Amino acid sequence: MKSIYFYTLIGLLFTGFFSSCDDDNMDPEMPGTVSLMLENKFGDANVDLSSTFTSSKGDEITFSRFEYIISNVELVKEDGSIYSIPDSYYFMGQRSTDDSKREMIELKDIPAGNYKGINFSVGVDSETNANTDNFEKGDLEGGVGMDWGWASGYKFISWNGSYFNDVENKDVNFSFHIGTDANYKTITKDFGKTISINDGMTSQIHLEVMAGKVFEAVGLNETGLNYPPPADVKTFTGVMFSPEDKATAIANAYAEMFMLHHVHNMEMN
Amino acid sequence: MEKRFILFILLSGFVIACDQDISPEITPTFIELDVPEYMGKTVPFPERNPFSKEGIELGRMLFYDPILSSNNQISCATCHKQELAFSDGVALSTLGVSGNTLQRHAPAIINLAWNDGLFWDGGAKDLESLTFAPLAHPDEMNQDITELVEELKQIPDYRERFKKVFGKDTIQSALIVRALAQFQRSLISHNSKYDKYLRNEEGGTLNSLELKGMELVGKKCSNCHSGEFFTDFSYHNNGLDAVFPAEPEHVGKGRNRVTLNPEELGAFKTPTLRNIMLTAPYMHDGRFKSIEEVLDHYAQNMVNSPTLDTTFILQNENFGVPLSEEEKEAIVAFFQTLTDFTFINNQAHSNPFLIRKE
Repeated sequence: MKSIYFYTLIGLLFTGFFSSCDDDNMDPEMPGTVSLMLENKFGDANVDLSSTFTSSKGDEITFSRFEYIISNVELVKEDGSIYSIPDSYYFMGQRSTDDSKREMIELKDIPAGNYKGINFSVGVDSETNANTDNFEKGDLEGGVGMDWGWASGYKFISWNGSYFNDVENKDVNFSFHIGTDANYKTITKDFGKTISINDGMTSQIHLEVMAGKVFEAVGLNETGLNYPPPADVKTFTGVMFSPEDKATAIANAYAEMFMLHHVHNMEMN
Repeated sequence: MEKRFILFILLSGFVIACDQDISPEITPTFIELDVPEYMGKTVPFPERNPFSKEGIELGRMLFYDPILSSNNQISCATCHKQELAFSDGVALSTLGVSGNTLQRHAPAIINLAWNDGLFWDGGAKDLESLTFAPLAHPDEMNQDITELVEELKQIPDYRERFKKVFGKDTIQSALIVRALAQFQRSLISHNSKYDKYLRNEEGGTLNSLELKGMELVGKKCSNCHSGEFFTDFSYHNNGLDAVFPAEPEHVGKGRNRVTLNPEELGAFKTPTLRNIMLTAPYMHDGRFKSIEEVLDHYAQNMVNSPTLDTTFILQNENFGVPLSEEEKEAIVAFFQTLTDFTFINNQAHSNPFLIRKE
């Protein structure tokens, strides 16, 4: 008798494992995964932390950090209803040369169905931006260069690097650190068709993130960029909260930098 | 019996396989911190970070542990000393990792739970968010947060304590600042001679000079140093300077640095008057060495500027807070009654590492 109990137990245990977390049976009625690819581009080239890119305004730019926050991802169903991905906060891009590129988000447990679009935001919503210890929310983490200590809040984009300064005739550092509620931007993308997302499908939404658009809106060799003025203004050009017009121009540009490349889905075998 | 056993094993299998959460019996002892009725009965806290006995204790350990700095030599208590009501006694500290002079005076940590803006300009919105700043600043603790998390994970006692307080078998940067915030919020001063006077308790008799000082503070200072916290938690230009230069890092601009509001140029947070005799030097840059210098400033040394707070504007284009020498003396006598010896001697706020060695 004891051994029968024992084997039943083992059997049940394994069933428990599989049915709860490792379902190998594909079922088109069951929730699926879609990957969101955010491919960072400067013109035709991929953004990395070693190349030099030339903006439409003629600035020669090299990044040392290219990081931004994507949040509050929603998928739009065929009938127009919305599925919001809970706690969807992601640090995207590349933090340093020690860090790998983060360009892919796996959106899991999406209810099975046909979807025609995606909405997401750059930055974090005002409620989440009220404090910087929000570990409960997705990737969000404080003290890793994506938030400000002197004025609580997240950096929606943290782009650092250097550019060739025409006046100084040498490379000068720059920082585009943009935050505050006013610069939280929501992006809406219509696929132009529908894709099925379910347990039996592998699906992808591929966007290109055209960083050049931001440097088209704000040229690094333009005047009036310095805030706060550092000890040696000549080696630094930055935008943080202020001057507000520059911060606004950058935010308006990053709201427009996401280009739908394509969406696809394939039935899994 | 056996069936129950099987059920138990099965459930454990589930938990191990899919659920990283800690079993529910590991919970901290959540507590409320009581304060007198005139301070609102209990100490407020953000919903996401309620007080627990273990949380405050963990925060206290972290507060006194130099492991929080990059060179493992500087703790929060280096610049926030209990005997000085958690201030540091110097105008601008040079005790940070770099040895560079800081740009503003270390504020005292007293009754901060009621503040919704921290730092002299209110840039930090709560104690949790604030804490990342001194931890990471190169001239303060210069700590890489990710490295700190790894260092703390190497210490079994900290691992256990974090698990007990936050119910997660891990240490994260947010949990470090939450524990520190719980401890800092628990630094409540409400046992001065003046408090005993308010509560009609033994030792709460104010002499005539002290009573005169109390009346004068109510009349002449309470537009800003209001209520039983002796602060309106707001920001004012109190006539320290006529110009507010952008260098260094806009700190001289005060509240304007955060809000960009031109009317808040040179406005700094009203500090509490509680324990004021312990927290010299004074002002955001520690420019006044003594309380007498502060009173002289208000009485005769203020300078005008377009954003000078209207509370200081007198008739005939004069400004300031007129005070006679007798009045100053009475005010200082009253200030003495705001010193809370219970607060600065409270073992619950003291260095836990020193106590253990005894």
